[in-house]
Amino acid sequence: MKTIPISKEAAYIQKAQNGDQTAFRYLVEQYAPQVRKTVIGMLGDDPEADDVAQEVFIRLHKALPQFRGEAKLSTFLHRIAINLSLTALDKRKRRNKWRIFNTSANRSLANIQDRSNAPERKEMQEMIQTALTSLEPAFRSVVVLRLVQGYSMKETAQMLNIPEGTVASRLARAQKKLQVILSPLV
Amino acid sequence: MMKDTEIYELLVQSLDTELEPQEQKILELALQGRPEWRAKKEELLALRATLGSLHVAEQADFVDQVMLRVAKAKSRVIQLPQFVAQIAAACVLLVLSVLMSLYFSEGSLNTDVLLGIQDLSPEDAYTLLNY
Repeated sequence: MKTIPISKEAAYIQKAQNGDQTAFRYLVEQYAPQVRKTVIGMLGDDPEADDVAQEVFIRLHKALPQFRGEAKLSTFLHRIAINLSLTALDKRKRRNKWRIFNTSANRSLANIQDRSNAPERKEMQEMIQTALTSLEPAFRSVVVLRLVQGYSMKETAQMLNIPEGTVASRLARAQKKLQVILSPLV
Repeated sequence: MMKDTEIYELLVQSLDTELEPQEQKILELALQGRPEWRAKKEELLALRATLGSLHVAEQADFVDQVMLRVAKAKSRVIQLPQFVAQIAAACVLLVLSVLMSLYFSEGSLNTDVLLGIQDLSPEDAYTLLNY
């Protein structure tokens, strides 16, 4: 995970707060891969995911004048990314309740088993993505931040605004389910 | 004797947090005594490595799209007060023209004129009340 040194980051944040668009662009460039990974982990590789990831930075731009640096910028961005993803999942669920329930979940699991013989890289990525989407959003967010992004338990808890114990228990349950789904891979 | 589910939970927890000395001892005993638990640990580590390998393809114009949306959002913020100011100016002009036309037609801008009751006498009001 690429990180900017804190002092350098603070300088860019200050410049961006003063209206320097180049500095803001630099921050977007630095954090775009991480934010996209979180949102895609939550929503799947879908055009909607890029829209949500872009919205994260729009929210950052709006919030910049009030940003005091009490939380790390990465924590702030991932918190927005998870919240916006959860809202998008909610909307998606309401929009496509019947279709999701009937087709995608079941078909996705079937696909994983079908492809177990020769998983190439792209297929493996798809399988991971499908396995993630089979988790409940609250569990998925923990897995995405802790296991996909590699944040510590403490950082994950801060980003999700939940106790570390809750992170640990959700992680345990999610891994149990993922072990079954991804058994052809691991 | 601990249940398998409890050992599994300790195993999963041990990968993320430091266990209590007693829990650590229980887990170590389970891992030493039963090869299936060692295999489970290996599986869990492999699962975590697999999840960590999730790769997201770069999107070339992502940053440009963000900057474009930021610029659009900013221009919307600037346009809103202008729009509100135009409506306010139109309202002020309308009120002024109504007041001027009243003044020129009635020769005054007192409350009766503004309420349109300048031609009513107190008796009219009494008659109206009787109805």
